[in-house]
Amino acid sequence: MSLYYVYFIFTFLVTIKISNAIEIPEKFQKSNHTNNWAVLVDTSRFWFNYRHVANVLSIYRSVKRLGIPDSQIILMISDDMACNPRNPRPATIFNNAHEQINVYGDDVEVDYRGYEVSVENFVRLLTGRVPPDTPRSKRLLTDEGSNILIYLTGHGGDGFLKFQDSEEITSQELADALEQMWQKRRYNEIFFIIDTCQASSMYEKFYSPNILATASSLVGEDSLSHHVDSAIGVYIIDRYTYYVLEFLENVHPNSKKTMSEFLAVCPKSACLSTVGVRRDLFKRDPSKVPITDFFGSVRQIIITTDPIDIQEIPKRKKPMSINKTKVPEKREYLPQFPMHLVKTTV
Amino acid sequence: MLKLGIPSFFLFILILQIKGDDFKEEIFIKPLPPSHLYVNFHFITLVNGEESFEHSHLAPRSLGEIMSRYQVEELHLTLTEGQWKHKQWGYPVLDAAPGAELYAWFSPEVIDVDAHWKKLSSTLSGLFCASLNFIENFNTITPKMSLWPTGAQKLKQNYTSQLRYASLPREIVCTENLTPWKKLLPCESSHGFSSLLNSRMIHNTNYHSIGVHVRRTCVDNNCLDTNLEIKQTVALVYDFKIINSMDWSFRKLFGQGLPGACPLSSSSKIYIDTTSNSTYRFKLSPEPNNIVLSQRGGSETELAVYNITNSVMMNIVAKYETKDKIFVNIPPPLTFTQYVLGYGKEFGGIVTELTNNYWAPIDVVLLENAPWWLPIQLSSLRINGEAESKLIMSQYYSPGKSRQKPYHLELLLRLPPKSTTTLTIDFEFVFLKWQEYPPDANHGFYIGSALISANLPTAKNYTSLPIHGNTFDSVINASKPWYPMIFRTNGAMVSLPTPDFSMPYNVICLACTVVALAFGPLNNICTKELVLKAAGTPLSLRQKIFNIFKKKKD
Amino acid sequence: MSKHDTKSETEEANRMWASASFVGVLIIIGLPLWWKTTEVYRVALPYDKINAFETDSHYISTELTVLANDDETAQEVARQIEKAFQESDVIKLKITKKIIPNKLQHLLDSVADEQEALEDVGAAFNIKKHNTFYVVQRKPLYQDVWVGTERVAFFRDIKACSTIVKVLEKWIYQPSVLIGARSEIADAARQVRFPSGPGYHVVLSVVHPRPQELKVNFNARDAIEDYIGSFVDELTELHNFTLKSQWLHLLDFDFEATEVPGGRVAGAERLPLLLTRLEERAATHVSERPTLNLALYVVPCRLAPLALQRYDKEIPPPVQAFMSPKWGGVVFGNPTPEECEKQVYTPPVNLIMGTFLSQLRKLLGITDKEAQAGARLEALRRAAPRAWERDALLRLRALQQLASAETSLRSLAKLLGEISNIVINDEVGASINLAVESIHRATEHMEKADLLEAHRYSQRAFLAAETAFMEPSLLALLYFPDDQKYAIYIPLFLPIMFPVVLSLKNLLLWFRGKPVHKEKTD
Repeated sequence: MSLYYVYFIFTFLVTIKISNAIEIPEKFQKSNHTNNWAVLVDTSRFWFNYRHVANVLSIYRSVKRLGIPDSQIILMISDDMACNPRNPRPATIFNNAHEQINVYGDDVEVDYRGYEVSVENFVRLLTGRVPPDTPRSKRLLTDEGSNILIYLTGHGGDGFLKFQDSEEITSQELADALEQMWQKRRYNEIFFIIDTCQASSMYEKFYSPNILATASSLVGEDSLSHHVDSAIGVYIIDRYTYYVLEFLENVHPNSKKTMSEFLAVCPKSACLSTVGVRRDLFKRDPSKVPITDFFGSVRQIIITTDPIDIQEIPKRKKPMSINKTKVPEKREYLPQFPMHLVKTTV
Repeated sequence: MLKLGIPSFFLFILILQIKGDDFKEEIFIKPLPPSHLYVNFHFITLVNGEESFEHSHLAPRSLGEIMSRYQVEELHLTLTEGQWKHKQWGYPVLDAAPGAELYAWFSPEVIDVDAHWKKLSSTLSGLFCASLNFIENFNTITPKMSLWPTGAQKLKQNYTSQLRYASLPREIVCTENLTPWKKLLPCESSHGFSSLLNSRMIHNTNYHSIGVHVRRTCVDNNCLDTNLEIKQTVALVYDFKIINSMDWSFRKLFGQGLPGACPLSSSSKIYIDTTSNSTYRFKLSPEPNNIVLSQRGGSETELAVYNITNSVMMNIVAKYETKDKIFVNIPPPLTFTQYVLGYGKEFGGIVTELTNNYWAPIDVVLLENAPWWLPIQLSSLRINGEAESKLIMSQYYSPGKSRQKPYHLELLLRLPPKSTTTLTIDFEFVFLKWQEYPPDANHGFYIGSALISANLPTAKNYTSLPIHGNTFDSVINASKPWYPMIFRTNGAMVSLPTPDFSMPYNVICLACTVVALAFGPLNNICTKELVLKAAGTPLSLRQKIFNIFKKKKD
Repeated sequence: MSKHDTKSETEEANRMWASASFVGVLIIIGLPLWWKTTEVYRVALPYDKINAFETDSHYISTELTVLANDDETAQEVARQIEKAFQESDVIKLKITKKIIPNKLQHLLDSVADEQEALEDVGAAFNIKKHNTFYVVQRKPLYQDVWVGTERVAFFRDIKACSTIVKVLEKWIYQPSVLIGARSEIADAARQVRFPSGPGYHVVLSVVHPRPQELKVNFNARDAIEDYIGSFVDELTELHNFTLKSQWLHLLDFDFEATEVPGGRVAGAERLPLLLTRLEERAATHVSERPTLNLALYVVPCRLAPLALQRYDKEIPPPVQAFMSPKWGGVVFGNPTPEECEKQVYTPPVNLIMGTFLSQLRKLLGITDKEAQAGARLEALRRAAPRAWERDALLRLRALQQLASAETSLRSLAKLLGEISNIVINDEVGASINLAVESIHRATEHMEKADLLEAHRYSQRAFLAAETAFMEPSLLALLYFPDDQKYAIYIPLFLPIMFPVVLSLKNLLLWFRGKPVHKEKTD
């Protein structure tokens, strides 16, 4: 009996020693990303797919509100719903029948719109192989420290996502594109959200590291839309994104919410489809990753404490060509009509 | 505070003007009886022409950087939604084609104009969030007679070859284009007249058009020094049915009152055309600062001018005194329309009707710009039914090349007085390759609008600025012998023969099956011989099994 | 009977020739033709050379001359330095020992000022040459080691050996930073500085939220041209700089400032959002190159003076400024109450541009130098960087570009090897070959201590590798994937080939002369 006591006390002391030796882990695992990007794509065309545009603009609005600047958001919208002649509320897109929030807003900047949203442009954007004249606002200028949020919505099926009702991207192509991004070190971590029917088939083929993926429905299930706005006449939001938006509206830039709360945002009772998650490629534990790692924007601020005290005021030497005095040339306004071709006698 | 504010304000303006950057903002409002209202915003920035664009003060640096990088002398970009109804509404200050329209003159030093043009359109597509990158060689033309630079040019220069024009009728205009446009203004959208541009209100109109026009203007009459003028315009046509009453006010039109002038602008004025006050009497409140009578080319216009100098919120209201009047529309001197003729998917025709309502002949240049997939035949050109018409004074035709160049026809016509001239030209439909169809091919394909460059002898319904003027007050008493104006007709839409896109694999399977079925017997006939065999010979096992099936068949 | 026989023989011969012609057309002509026409054009790439790259073994040689008053000191100093740098595989020192000539020794001992001593050394030796460094003994030195703006470090005597080694490690050569540049993982220094590239735009934005209340007397163009211009003119071998300036008026921002005695403090969480707000108006996405943003924020009178953090016990710095890695820096211009009264604010140009310069240096890769015991780093009093800092930047960028080029080529080779239906056209092949060749040349020059040439070749390699990797034609989508190719051709060809292949047996038999009778009864 006494031996048991001794044994018990011994282990107790040892465990105390060990627990004192172990550092208390931080609540959040440190992430080493330096900037945040978002790629938000709506792939469907035609007025009855109003809800997909509302989906993508809801995420755009949340991401902008939480701090990601427009220069780091690539927004692709396939069709114009806001200024569509069928829209009874011009220049607005609502995601709620009560029309409380205009997700289109007053300062939206769409990078790819209309016919530009195609499978080729999407893959070129991800891999960086854009045509040489592409302006910087249409390029994904990420580097090895970028956390990217990729959100796709539209109509999909088992292993493909439909673009503009005329072409598809397969899950293998998407996985290859992400692998090429990894090879060039164009991301630190990716959070991939997809809201379509049979959405989880799109992330099944991923094989690059550091990707956390979630989908609104599993293979064999359809993602359903939420409700109709009778004033506008179409379904205006999908279930999964509706509940995601509800969750994100309560997130502010200093929020302590974690990714696992986000991944559990739509239970089957609300979404009517099962939300799928793929976490085997993601190194960190989602319950310890803050949501602002993907939805907010990190900018490191370093306070400058050592300005240079310049003694002699520098003067830059001007290049020689400017020294030539320019002779002013006389100019004149031209006639705005080719009078010289008008025949006087007709 | 205000006492300190005003002198420093003027001091600031003085400093700015010495530096050379000058910013002015203006609104021009004209009621278009019986039921529409025309509102036109102008934001003009004048920059000293010799300075480089790398260092900017009030002018938008991004636009300047684009102009200097691609060596652009003059730039005109408009994004428009809606059709301007010339017959009912008269003439706008600046007409614009529906969709996106971009034309630019490049500097004479540029040798490869096409490469610079492509880069310019791609960069502008990124700046204005519009799909201008779809402008390629196959939808760009070089007008020879209809477009002339509005800026001051050096003498003896060839500028026609440095011009490129393209229009994309399918482009939509929405808040996403207005947002970067507003960012080019020095006051952005927080102060001054630009704060009135609320996208929910201005897109709820019959016609809305935003534009950027950059050109060089002379500082004085000698024109040895030039200023670069960057003009940003917004043209809106409101419908009284949409705002639900004939009385209009800034609150009804823009959703808010005017918060005063922009602190950076040297002049902020509102001009309201009260000429129609004689027939449709309305009363403005608050009272305008002054009323100006302008005589221009025989027609008289009365303008009410408001000079806004402070930052006090104000709301201009117009109350109509008599309603329910019958309106008699007197059409302007030149009206036109364009439509498509024909049926079926083989041939068709474009008809352009030009109506001269004036008692004297009017000279016009008509530019027809047909895309490469709509080949127009010059031999089928008929003017009032005749092939060789005396009305044509000069003609330019550039046939298009499939997938490389569009069809370009320019005609200098003298329209006889009080007549309608009908031009008809035939086209045929072309089959496009499978990848060239847009995703919604059954919607139809747009034919861009034709350009009509007219030399009007009268200033009736004419509201455009004279060429030497920067601001709207240059319109007052600006009589000239001729009033040039470039109009755009309405666009048209055709339905090209569209295949059924769901067929490719079906066709492949069908073709493979047919080939296989055809090949088999052919091979058999060539390589095998039919030999008669006597009945009753011993059968193999295989034959016995076949015979069982055969018997069942019988 | 024989007539019937010969007739049947000729008929059989006809049938056999028909069968042979089917075989000829389909198998002998058709199959190779189909293979040739669906072949993908691929230029041969030097896969073996690319796989042979060893990024972690690149190193840079550099010359170090030890000048001492006597032989023993020189030997000891050289030995200590060599020992310290022996394990470092990223930088190899070629140490030469010399005795200072008597005249120079006399001069060094007698002049009072270090600057004059520098000039004397400069007269005797070539200190303007790139990638060299001189460690010179000078007896009347107050500290152990003194480092100035030229490529010379003075040391007092043999006892200063360890300090010399520390100075060379932490200030002059910084092998840890060079290792970080060479590796695949980004270290802290790499996260701050801008990525390598041939050129940058530097934009100075003067942000003036209340032009109606305050007039700002600041010539942005001259400020950036003179101060920043003098700085970037020294770095023309590294990058091409374009300097621009603009004014952003009426850009108001809510700092959520809290009141403290003496002024106001901006909320720490609001500062990153200020950068977002500045980016909206600064329009830097129009440029073709990465942009370094320098913003001077004129604080409105009602908020001035605005500080970035509370300074309870420490002395606040002369100017409130912060920077963000890979973006740029912001300096607050706080008008004094007198200037607010007069409504005219003249920012202190020297101080502000000095702050911008210090931020710009860090953003371009010139790291901070922590203080070392016994050593003195003469404070920089001019816009241009120190000569040995330029050398350090050249080394850093050369290594980083080389490492990046090799990584790109390796991953490109892997990609092209895996996906066999991507066309590799001539331009891609040429870029890759150019990159490989430039990498070899750069490595050679780095090992020979030829720093300028090494940097030039490494930049060429980097640009060629980027061009090859980002070539728009390398898109797998554009080309017919193999499985679709077979899916289309198999239903077409298989039914055709089936009887043709089967008839081959009969053909062979007939050619050998045996009679063929294959019966198929019905």
